[in-house]
Amino acid sequence: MKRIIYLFLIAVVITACKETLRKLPIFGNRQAVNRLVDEKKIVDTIYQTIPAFSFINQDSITISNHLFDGKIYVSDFFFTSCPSICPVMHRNLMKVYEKYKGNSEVMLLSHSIDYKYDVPHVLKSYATKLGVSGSQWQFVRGPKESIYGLAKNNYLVSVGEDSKAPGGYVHQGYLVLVDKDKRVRGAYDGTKTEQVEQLMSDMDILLAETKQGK
Amino acid sequence: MNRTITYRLALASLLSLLAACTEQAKGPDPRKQILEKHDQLMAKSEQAVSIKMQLDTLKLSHFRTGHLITDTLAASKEITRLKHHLAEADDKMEDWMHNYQPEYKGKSLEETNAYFKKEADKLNSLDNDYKIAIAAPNELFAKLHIQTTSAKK
Repeated sequence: MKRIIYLFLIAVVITACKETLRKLPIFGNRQAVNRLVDEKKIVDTIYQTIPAFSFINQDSITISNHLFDGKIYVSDFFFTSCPSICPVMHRNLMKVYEKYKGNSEVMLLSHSIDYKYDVPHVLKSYATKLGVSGSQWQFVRGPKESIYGLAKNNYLVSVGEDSKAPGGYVHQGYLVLVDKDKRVRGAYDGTKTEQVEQLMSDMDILLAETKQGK
Repeated sequence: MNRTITYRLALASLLSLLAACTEQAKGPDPRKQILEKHDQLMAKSEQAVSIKMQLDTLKLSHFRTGHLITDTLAASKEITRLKHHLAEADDKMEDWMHNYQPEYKGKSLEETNAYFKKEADKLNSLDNDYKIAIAAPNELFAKLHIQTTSAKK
């Protein structure tokens, strides 16, 4: 009996170790560069990162990429009058918001793709109706070309080209996880509960990873 | 007793038959069809934005290579015209999204059906607008031997 208990404990420890050791992949382009460290030549990898941006938020304030410095964040693309995917996606994203509410290391960034109608006061009322207050969840608007360019070239690099769902890449309800170094670490179907659960589990890994010093 | 059971069975069969007929008469859900069409058009909207961005990158050298237009003003006017058509289609799409009422309630069945029929027609017309607005720049790209960057057709 004692042997069984010991074996069980060992199994638990191994499982726990595996969980802490699990690393999330880094998506996007990468480039190998040579560097000199202590007069030794080493090969380093430079990963694709989210470039600088500047948008107007729900409080009519211009926010930039610097607001997300030193934080992990979840990014998505939506519009307030969306009748199909977005309501489900944002209901699911509310679970993420509730879980990490008040955590200064976590933010959410929703980009509107309806530049014409999603003006700041519309975004504000949408956020309020959803139950969002404060600045942890940013709802932003910007010119369509900027938003789509950022989405396709940077945030959605992890979304497979074989995706056949209607609605294009931007309007597919993806939630994109970005790390503190502004690298894409995962994309999840925001309309599926189990994928959102996976997102939250991966966010925990990412937070632990940064605490462990990567 | 047996007669009561027979009557009940007959009544149940009649009711299920009636329910099946009503379901068949109702036909496909117009709201669902509209949402599906809307999602398809969102892909076209994305394509339109990509094409607009690609048109912005066109330079006179592209036209020279394609031996198409040597007049810079004419080339610039053509690009502006194509971009305008793409923007116009996108603008109409945004208006539709803003005005569409997915929860069209409190009206008679005829009024409700007429409303969704009208909205479906608007989407079909928009689909046509997108097709035309997207086809023209794609023809130009083909003439200039430029591969289109838009993800989906």
